[in-house]
Amino acid sequence: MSDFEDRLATLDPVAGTSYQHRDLDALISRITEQPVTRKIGLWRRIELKLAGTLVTGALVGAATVALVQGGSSLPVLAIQNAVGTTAPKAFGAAASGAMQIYARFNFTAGPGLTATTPTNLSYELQIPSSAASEASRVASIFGVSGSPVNASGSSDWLVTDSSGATLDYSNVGVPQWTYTSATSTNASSADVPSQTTLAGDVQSYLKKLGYGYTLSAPSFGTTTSSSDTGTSSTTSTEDVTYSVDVGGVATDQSLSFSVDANNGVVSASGPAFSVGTTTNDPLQSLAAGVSALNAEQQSRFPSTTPTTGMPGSGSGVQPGTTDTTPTTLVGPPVVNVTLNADALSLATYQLTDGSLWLLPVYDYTGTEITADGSTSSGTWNELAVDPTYVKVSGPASSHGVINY
Amino acid sequence: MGSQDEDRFARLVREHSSAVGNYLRRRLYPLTATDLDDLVEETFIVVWRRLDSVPSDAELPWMLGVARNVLRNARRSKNRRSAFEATLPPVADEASAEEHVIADTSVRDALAALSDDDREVLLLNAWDGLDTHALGAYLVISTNAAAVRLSRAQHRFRELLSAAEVH
Repeated sequence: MSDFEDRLATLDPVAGTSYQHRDLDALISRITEQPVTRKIGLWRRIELKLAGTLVTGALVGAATVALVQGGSSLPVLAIQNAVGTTAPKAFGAAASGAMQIYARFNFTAGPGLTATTPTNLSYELQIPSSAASEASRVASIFGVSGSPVNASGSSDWLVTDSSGATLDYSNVGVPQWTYTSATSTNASSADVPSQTTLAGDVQSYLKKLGYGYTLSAPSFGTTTSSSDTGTSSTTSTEDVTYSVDVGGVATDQSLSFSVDANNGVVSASGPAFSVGTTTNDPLQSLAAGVSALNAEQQSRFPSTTPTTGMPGSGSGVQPGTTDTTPTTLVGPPVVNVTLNADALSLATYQLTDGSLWLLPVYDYTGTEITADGSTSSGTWNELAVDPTYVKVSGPASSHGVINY
Repeated sequence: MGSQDEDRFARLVREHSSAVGNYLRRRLYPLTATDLDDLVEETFIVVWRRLDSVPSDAELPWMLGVARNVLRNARRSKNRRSAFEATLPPVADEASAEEHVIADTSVRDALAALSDDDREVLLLNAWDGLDTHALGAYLVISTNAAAVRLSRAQHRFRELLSAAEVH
């Protein structure tokens, strides 16, 4: 096991406390005695006590947003909650570099955050109307010939050719295509193409794909892997991941390519969209965005008394044991964050009419200061569109969300 | 259903209930032991109803897929009740397991920086123990594609971890 796998394993929330049902025999009896069509409401307690979700695509909460006074040129933006691999970001959701742990963040705007209110373009995305046709088209670009198959009624379309090469097209949110070759050439890391060659390959494919978006901020790397069959085969690939840009602004989409020693594409993936309607939306100031982040924290923890310190400092009760301690009101720990740097990017939001938009968001960078004095950096997102042009309704927060 | 079905179902429960429970517990916060038992039971009710659909070569990933849907239902239930819940006095929930595992902030930050896709694949492998075949069954993609997704996620995670530790 590698070092990073060891460290990941150490982070496993259930490490050392593996779940054991209290009475499996009773469970089996209850279920097998039921008529198949019987419906049982087991959520009587859970509905009241679930306080959040985490890890896989968790969203902070549903929020409906509508532009209310943006003028006739602005569309009504009613953002819906969604779950999926390309789910839109939630308001104030912690982004890269910062896990939104069970904590209440107290944000302070640093002196570099201005009070000016600019405008920025928003973009409606045009999604291929036929997932099957688009899967076939992208597959042909990568030389995969075959008919797209809708796997088990899912949103995935899979094209597989006789060699075993595949093109997987996931039609959830912003559709994503993933090409995988059947083979790669055995070679050492010294034999892989240069970054310049790989960059040229990517641009060539990008032109064929014809979506119209551009790429920036490449992150190159070389991956070498050995066969686990006991033979001495070793394969190496040169890899790159780009940010997908629209209008010269980075988005939350990315595109990746890997090539082998023969400069054959081993894998590639990216989004399938082009840009349609654009609007020029007024933005709130950077300082106001920080206030909005704080307001969202207030709405998330409205009825608890925060403690100071990082999670882990409190006592805990493991599943299967009895909590004999007195019931006390303990809120989430407070983590102070000073936000000093910012960037503007475009994030994907799905509206209630089903359309997908790239809307401007502020990406704040700041430093967390915990009760023990330790610090770490992180970034947070906030929708940049001026809130006076936005109407928020619907459940907008939930307690104890862990979003990492 | 006949005794053969009941025997198979009993075996599935005994062999995989721990893995299903661990999967659910990793993704919910906070959760009492009773609630967790209920979620596990809800998952196996679906397994029982659809026993013929459980693939013999991918039983666990198939059941984890059921558990994933159970989670989604739980979240929807939670959202429907959120307004009512806000009127109730706070409940002293059991401490989350996550509260015990935040020491490695570099790993935490690297995980946070991953895309949802990459994080899901990485943790399904590292925490839930799904190999590339099982990942493919869970994600309803080919084993080959699952291997690529896992490799890519691990590569990105290593990069992010290195970057986090430079600072």
